[in-house]
Amino acid sequence: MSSFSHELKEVRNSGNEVKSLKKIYAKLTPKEKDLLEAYSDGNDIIQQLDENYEKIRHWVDYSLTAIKKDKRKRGKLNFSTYVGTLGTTWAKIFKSRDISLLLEDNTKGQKYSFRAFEMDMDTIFTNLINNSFDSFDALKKVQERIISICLDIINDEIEITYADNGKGLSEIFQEKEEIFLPFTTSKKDRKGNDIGTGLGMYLVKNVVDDNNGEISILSPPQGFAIKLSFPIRKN
Amino acid sequence: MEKTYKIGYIDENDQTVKQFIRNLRPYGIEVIGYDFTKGMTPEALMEQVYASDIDLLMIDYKLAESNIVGFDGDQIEHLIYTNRPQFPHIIFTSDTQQAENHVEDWKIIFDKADVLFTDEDKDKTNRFINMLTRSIDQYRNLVDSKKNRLSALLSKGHEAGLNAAEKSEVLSLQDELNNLDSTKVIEVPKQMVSIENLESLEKTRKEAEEFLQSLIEKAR
Repeated sequence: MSSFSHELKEVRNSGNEVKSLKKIYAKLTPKEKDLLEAYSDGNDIIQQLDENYEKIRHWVDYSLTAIKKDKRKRGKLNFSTYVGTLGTTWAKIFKSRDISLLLEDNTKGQKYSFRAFEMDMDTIFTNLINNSFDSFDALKKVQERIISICLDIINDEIEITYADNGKGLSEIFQEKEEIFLPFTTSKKDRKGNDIGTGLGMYLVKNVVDDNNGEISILSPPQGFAIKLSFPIRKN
Repeated sequence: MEKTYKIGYIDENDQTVKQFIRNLRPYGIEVIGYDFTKGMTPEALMEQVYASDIDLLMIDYKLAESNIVGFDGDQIEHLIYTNRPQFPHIIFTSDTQQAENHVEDWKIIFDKADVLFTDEDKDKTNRFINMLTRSIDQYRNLVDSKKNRLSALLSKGHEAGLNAAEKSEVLSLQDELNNLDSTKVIEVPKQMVSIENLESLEKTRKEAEEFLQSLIEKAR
C-alpha cells in the first residue's frame, strides 16, 4: 500500500476537479431541444461522480491513515483524541448507513499516560464497528441506529464501553465468552453455513491481552455492549 | 432506436437507477425506478412494481444497508418468484458473494462490475443485453402462445361449441395463465372462459335457432 500512496494522494487531490467541471457545465445550457436529454444525462453523471468522489476520498484517506508509520510505533495514546479521530474517519460510512455515533468522554481534564500501538486500537474498533454493521443489517427492520463509545477513568484504569442497539449477541453463543474463540461466527448463509471468518473478536481479545487489558461482554437490554479496560499511569 | 422493452430496477440509490436508465437507453430498453420511503414494506414496493407494467425486473441485492427499508433483494426475489414464478427477474449487484449466500438460484445473479457499458467491455455488455432481451422475449412468447390458443378455443366455443378435450384444455390454459401471474386479473376475464358460460351461450344459441325456426314454420 505504501508503495503507491503517492498515486493514491494524486487521485484524491485531482478527483476534486469534478466540482470545477460541475461549475463549467452549469454555464453550458443548450438551446436546442434535442440536446436537452444529453445535457440532463451529463448533469446526472457529474452529480454521481461528485458523490462517488466523496466516497473515494474517504477510503483513500482511511487507507493512507491506516498505513502511517506512527500507527506502528508504540507511543502515548490519548483515547479522547483517538475516538474523536475515529468518529471523523468513519463519519461518511456512518452517514451512508444512517448510524449515529454518540461519544461520551468522561476523561476530559484528567491527565494520564497510556502507551500502545495505535494500529492495535484500530484492530479493536474496526472489528467492533464492522460487527455493529452486520448486526444492524441482520435486524431486517428500520430503526434508529446508534453506536456509542463511553470513556471513563476508574481508579488506575481507563474504561471504554462500546455499544450498539443492533441485534445483540447471537443465541448460538451459549456462554458470552465463546465469542472470543477463533473460527466461531454467527454469520450464516441461508443454509446455515458459516460465512464469517470467526476471527474478528478473537483478534480483539488478543490485542486487549497484549496491552494488559481486560475485556468483558455486557448485557444491555437491547443490542450489544462490551467493556474494555487498560491500566494507565496517572500524571 | 425504438424502445421495445421496459425494465424495472429496484435500487434505493436513485443515482444508480439513473445510471442504468442512461446505459440501457441506447439498446432500446427503457428503465424505470421506484420510490423508496422510510420503513416501507416489501409488499408496498411490489405494488409499485406490479403497477409499472414492466417486462423484466432487476433487483439490487443490498437494500437494507442505508436504513430506508428493512429488507434486501432476496426478499423481493422471493415475492416475485411466489407471485409470478416465471416472470423474468435478475439480482444485479456489486456484491455477488453476499447475494449468493442468500439467493437460491445463482443463475439470476449478475455482477454490476461485469457490465460496464464501455467500448472495451462491448462483448460482455452485449451478452448482458442479449440475456435481458431474450428472457423477455421468451416470457412474452410463453404468455402469447397460451393466450392465442385460449382465444382460438374461445372463438370456437362461441361459434360451434367445444368437445370434452377442448373444454379441458380451456380450463388448463386458464389455470396456467393464472399461475403465471397471481397478482392481477388475467387479461381474459375468468367469467368469459368458464365452461358454464360457454355451455350456456351454446344453449342460448340453439334455443334462439329453434325459436326462429318455429316462427318461420308458423309464418308458412
